[in-house]
Amino acid sequence: MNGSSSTSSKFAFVSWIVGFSILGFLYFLFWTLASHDYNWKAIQPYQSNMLKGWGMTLLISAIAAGISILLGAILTAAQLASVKMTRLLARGYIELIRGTPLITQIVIGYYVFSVALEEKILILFSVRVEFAPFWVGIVILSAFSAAYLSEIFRGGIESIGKTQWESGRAIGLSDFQIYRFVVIPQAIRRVLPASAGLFADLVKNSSLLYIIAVHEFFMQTRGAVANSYASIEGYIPLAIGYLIITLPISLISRKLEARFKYEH
Amino acid sequence: MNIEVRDLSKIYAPSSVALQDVNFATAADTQVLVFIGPSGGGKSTLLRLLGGLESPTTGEIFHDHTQLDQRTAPLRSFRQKNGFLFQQFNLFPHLTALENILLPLVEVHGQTSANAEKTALAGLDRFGLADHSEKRPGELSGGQQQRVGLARAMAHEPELLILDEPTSALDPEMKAEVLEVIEELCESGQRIIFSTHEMGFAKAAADEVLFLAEGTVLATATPKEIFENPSDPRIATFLERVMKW
Ligand SMILES: Nc1ncnc2c1ncn2[C@@H]1O[C@H](COP(=O)(O)OP(=O)(O)O)[C@@H](O)[C@H]1O
Ligand SMILES: [Mg+2]
Repeated sequence: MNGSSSTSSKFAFVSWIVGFSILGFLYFLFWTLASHDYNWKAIQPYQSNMLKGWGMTLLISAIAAGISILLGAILTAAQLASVKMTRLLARGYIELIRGTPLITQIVIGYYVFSVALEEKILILFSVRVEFAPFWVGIVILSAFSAAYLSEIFRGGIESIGKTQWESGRAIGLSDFQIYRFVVIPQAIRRVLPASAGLFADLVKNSSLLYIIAVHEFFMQTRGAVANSYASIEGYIPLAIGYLIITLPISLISRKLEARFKYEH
Repeated sequence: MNIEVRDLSKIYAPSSVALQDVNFATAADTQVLVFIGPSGGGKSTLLRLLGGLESPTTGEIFHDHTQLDQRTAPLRSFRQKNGFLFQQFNLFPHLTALENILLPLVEVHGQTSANAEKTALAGLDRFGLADHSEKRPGELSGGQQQRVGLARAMAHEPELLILDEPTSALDPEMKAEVLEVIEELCESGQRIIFSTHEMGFAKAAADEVLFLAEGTVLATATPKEIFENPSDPRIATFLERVMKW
C-alpha cells in the first residue's frame, strides 16, 4: 500500500514536470509568433500563386492516393499469391522502396527512368514525348505509397483469424469467396486508421516534388518567401494549408471506423 | 446412414499423430452418431475428415458406400451438401444473423435473395431467434450465436449435420437451450454426427456411440453397451471419471 502510493506520487511529480515543460515550450512558440512584426502586405502579391500551389498539392495527393490504393491492392495480392516467384518479387519491390529515401526515388525516377522511357518510346514508335514533372511525380509518389499501403493491407488480411477461414470453408465458400465476403470486409475496418495516416504522409511527402520542379504548395511558398523577403508570413499559411488537408483525412477515417464498428 | 472408414490416419507431424489406422463401419440404421472420449483423442480430426474439411494422410472414407473423392473440387461440393457447427466463432462478426445465413444460400447454393430470405427467416424462427435477425454476433449471447450457427448449417437442408462439441464453450443454461434444439433436430430425422462431453445427452440422443482415445477407435456400440457394459477398461475408467460429478 505504502509502496504503491509513493510510486503514484512519483508519477504525479513526473507528470507535473512534463506538463510544465510542454507549457513552457508552447509559451515560447506563442511568444515567437506573437512578438513578430508581421508584414502581411509583402506576401500579398504571391497569394494567388500559393493558392494555386495548394490546389496542385491537393490534386497530386488525390490522384496519387487513388493510384496507390490500386497498386497497393495488386501488391498485396502478389504478396499472398501461391506462386513463390510472385511473392518474392513483391517482397523485393517493397523492401527496395522502404529501404531507400523518397528523395532518391524522386531524383532517380525523374532523371533516369523517365528520360530512359522517353528515349525508348522515341526508338520504338518514333514519337517524341516529354513526361511532365507533374505526372512523373504522381507516379513516383504512388509507387512509394503503394509499397507501404500493401504492408498495411497484408497486415489487415493476416489479422483475420483462422476460424473465419474454417467457417467459410465449412459453409462451402471457395477461397476467393472467403476473401471477398469474409476476410476483406473485416480487414478494411482494421486497416482504416493506418491507411489514413499513410494518406496524410502522402500529402506531406508531395512537398518533396519541388526538387523536380513540380509547382506544388511548398515550391510556390518558397518562391513567394524568396521574392517578398517575408518568411513567417509565408510559412504560417504553408503549415495551415497542409493541416487543412490532413486533418479532415483523420476525421473522415474516424467516422468510417465508427460506421464499420461491430466488434465489442 | 452408412459410414465406413478404412485404415484412416491423419498425421500433422511425426510428433502429432491425430488418428492412427482407424477402421469402423456404422450400423445401417444409425441416424445419430456420437463421438465421445478424452480431449486430444482425435474427435475433431475425425469429424473434419468425415465432413471433407480436411484430407487424410492415408486411408479411405465411404459415405453410403461411395468413396469420398479427395480432389479439391469434388471435396468442396461434398462439403456444400453438409452442415457444420464448431465449438465457437462460427459466425462472421461483420454480418447480421440473417446475413450470416443468407451468404451461403445465395453465394454457394445459388438461391435468389427473395427465396433465401424466406428460408433464412423461417430457420431463425424455428430456432427461436425471430427477434434477433438484425443483430450482429457481438450482440448475441453464446447460446444464441450457436443457434444462429445451427440455423445456418441447416438452412440448405444438409444431408449430414456435423457438430463438434457445439456446447463446450457455453455456460449450463445456454448449454441446455442449444441441446434442446439439437434434440429436436435428432427427433426430426436429421442425420447427425456430433462430438460431446455431455454424457447424459450422448446416452439419450445417440443411436450409436464411437469412443476415441489417442487417435484410435476403442469401441463402436450402442449407448446402452458403452455406458452400461463397456468392452474396454479404458472406456470404463473414462466414464467413471467424467460421470463422477
Ligand atoms: N491442425 C493441427 N496441427 C497439429 N496437430 C493437431 C492439429 N489438429 C489436431 N492436432 C492434434 O491431434 C490430436 C487430436 O486432436 P483433436 O482431433 O482435436 O482431438 P479432440 O477433438 O478429441 O480433442 C491432438 O493431439 C492434437 O494436438
Ligand atoms: Mg475437439
